[in-house]
Amino acid sequence: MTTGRKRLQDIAQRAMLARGLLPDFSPAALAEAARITQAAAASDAAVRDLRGLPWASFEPRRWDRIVALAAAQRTRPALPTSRWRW
Amino acid sequence: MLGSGEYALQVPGQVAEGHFGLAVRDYTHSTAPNRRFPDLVAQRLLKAALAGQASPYSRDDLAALALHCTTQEDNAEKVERQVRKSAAALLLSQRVGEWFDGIVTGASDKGSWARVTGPVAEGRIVHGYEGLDVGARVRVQLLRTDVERGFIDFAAARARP
Repeated sequence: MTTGRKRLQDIAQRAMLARGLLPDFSPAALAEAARITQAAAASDAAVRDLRGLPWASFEPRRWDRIVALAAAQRTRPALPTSRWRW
Repeated sequence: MLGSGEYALQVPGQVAEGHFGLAVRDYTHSTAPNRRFPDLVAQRLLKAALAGQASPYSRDDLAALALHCTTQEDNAEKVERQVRKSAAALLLSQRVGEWFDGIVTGASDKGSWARVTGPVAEGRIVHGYEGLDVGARVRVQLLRTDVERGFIDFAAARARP
């Protein structure tokens, strides 16, 4: 790491700590992440896969702008196909 | 989420902020729960509602969380601005004494400011700022930088029409 980059990193860490923000994950959080060995699987029968439904996205910082309209369709055997219109 | 980094509790029966672009009142913005903590909160609320369960948060909890998240987003933005200023000061720290073309971006009793373009950075004009107004083109000499505090000090040579 370059000296300048390290210096800025130190400044950022001090600034975060001074404002009540944590620049690094806690040991407890890292230990919890280390215990994850596989992706989570839904065990609740009420959980439904909604990826087949059309959806839209709006840019929250520009309330007047639609940033994405998409339709997703599951194909066999499993790979979804997405169509994007910007 | 009401806007950029602003969160607020909205409860049934009260007039909601709504969404201007969609022209709807009953609206909330939320995205993937790995983006922001408030998105995780929104997803927990939705999940409980869909399952017919009680809200996992009380209204007091949600109001406190909204305030906390708004405050922390403000703090994060302040840290980002501070680091950007320090990065600009670091970038210019080897160029003390050099001259730059810039534009006056601020002029008040508290001081005058100029933005230079090579590299893009903003600093305070500590000498020669008299008579400068916002928008004036100015040639400035870099006097000093303070990387820790993100300070960049210029002296103005002259204002140009």
